[in-house]
Amino acid sequence: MWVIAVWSIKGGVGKTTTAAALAALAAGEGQRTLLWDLDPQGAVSHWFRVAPRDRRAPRKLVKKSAPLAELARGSDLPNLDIVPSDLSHRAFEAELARRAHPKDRLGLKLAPLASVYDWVFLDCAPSVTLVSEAVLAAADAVLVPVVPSSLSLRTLEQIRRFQAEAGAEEVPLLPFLTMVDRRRRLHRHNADALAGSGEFLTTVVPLASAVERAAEFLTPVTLAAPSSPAAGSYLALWMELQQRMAGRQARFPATPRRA
Amino acid sequence: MRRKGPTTPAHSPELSYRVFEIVSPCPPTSLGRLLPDGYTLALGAERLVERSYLDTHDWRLWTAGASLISETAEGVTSLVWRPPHAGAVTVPRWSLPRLAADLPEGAVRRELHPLIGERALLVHGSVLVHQRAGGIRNACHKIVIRAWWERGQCLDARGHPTGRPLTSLRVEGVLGYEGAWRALVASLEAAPFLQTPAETELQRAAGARGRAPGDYSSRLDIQLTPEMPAAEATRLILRRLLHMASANLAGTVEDVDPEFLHDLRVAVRRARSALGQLAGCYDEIRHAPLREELRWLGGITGACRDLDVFLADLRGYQGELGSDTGEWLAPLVEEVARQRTEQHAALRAALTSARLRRALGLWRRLTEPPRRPARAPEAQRPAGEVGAERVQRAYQRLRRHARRLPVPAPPEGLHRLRIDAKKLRYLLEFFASLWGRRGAALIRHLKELQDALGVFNDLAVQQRRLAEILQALLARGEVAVPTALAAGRLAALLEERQTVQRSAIAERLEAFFARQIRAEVASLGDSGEEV
Repeated sequence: MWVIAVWSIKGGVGKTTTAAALAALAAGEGQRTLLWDLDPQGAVSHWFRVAPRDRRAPRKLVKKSAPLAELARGSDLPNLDIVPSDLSHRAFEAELARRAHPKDRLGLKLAPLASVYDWVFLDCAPSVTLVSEAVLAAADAVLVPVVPSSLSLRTLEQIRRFQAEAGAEEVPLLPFLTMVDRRRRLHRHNADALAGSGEFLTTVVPLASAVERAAEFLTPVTLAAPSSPAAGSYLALWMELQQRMAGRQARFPATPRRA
Repeated sequence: MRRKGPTTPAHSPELSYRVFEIVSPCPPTSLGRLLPDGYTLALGAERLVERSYLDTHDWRLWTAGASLISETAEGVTSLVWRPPHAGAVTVPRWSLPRLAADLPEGAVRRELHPLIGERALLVHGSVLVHQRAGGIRNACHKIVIRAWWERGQCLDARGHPTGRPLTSLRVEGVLGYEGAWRALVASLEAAPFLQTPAETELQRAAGARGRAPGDYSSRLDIQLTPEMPAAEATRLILRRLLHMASANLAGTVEDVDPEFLHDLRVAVRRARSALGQLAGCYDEIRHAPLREELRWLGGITGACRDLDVFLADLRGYQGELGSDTGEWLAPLVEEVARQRTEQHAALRAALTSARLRRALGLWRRLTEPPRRPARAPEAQRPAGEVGAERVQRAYQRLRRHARRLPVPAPPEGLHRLRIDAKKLRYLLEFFASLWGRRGAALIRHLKELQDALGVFNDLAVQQRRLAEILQALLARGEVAVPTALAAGRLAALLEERQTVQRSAIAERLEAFFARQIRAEVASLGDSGEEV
């Protein structure tokens, strides 16, 4: 089971769009997929029309005895389950802080699911908190959407510093350019310079109205407009992600059930 | 047959899958009226789907309570995997798999492979379905139950529609919406024009091809009674073995997967063993030609089966020895595969010959109810008495041979023990229905010994075969130095493992001849004396 976090400190860079698109692509290929909404804004939950099934969910998310699966709900798409979130999940951070070894809590929740799901995507909130540290401790890789602007690039540096401070340097950070508007000189210049730097994934996600329209219809862009350039770029990102993970040792390897 | 098992996280035990037959004419849209308040049924446009049920020849998926279905619509095939203890997985746009390895990496392959091993997946039944797929949505427009309205007709083996068309509503719960599922199922169960079909779709589809779920198993399962004459018991044993041999003939000829040949060979060997060990219970003169034909069948199937086993083992060792050594073993693997192809061609010719047809005819005639009682000396003795006596005799023989083995035991001596153990196992299995749990426990203990003896023998055979293959390649000048070195490494590994295995055999022999087991064997007969 691969655990992929989609995270940035900056808001509005396409984290939810990316997490939803990748989860839909994985599920669409017959992979059992879980999308865990870790953002109290609950955008991805709203997107898939899934509300938390339990008001005590934030507490259950950190309690050892409560399986994560009890909080998961099936989406309208085959093979895709969601652990939804809403504003009550703002208490998650505080619940986590009250527990011993808070950084390990996400991993403890995910470990029993290793033989059930093939991919888990974590849609993270745009913040640096204890939850972020727990994400780094549980993820096999962190996808960081970066808009080619100087502020967004500065955010990437902050994430790197935070990762080092958290002692999680072994987790691959996979930045990629997103919302790239090639009509804008600054985007064009930064995108061209960064895409060939080797620091970023080669996939570039363009700024596209198809993404906004898809959000209106509460459908991942890869399904709402599958032939759009944006959908094509998410497919390329999905393939690149799989290549990056190939040959690596998963943090939570599946153990086959014996006959 | 669904078996209840431990709950895995992605699947709620409450959620299930139900099919309701619509018994009176009713447009699909009117089904929405059956739903509780707040729920709406939304169905897509009608499409034509060909649905096929995949399983192994011996129904391993069905036996485990799982299913793999292929659905082809507008030229595109998707797979639906329902594992025994977890939620369904749909694999869109995927061609019909032959083996587990043909499935995409991930949950489906991971869950299916342990169930079917290297057996091929075959279509056991097909249905042509006019389908409208959709779901039942709650007030938030979220699908809380998946639903399909269908009108389907089974297809026979030639692909022609057959039998009565069936109109149905299929529903499947969505994780996290158990309340909706309970409310909906209660509503549907109360509807007068909906009923649970008498047979599952798989049963109907397999029936249209002359099959039934579970109609073939490699388990013997021969129902005998203790009072039955030994001649009758022998006839029933031979009849069951004929069924097993016949059921695996076409798959062996077509080379569907190596297990067909394995099961065919086992059926033949068991039949030879039955005739050998139940001597005196049947008319020897009448059965003599069958004994000869079984000996011939055993001979023609041996070489190809040995190569099947060696090929699978070599491929396993390739992975085990690491990428470099493994790669250098490739010429050996290719040579074994080439020899195997040759042997299979010879086997196919033999299995499609007039001699084979005559042999099966002979076998069949000997399993038909006799017109007059058999006149063999022990033919009329009760089966329970004869079975216990022969098992005890075989057990004593195995024990005697084991006692006479020098230390360390030579490979030939252990080979002989393996054959003795196999004969004992066959006898225990032939008469298993007479002894219930006691017989099953003895088989379990014997199996442990057989496993150790089997591994030792496999390692000896592998070493011999490895040398033969290497010699054949050397004679043709087709061996590179690294390949010879890799073969040397493998030979050393096999020898090392054989040494380890020898001590395991000693332990298991001791366990199998322990006082308790001896008493168990003795209790199979009337005397109750320790053997």
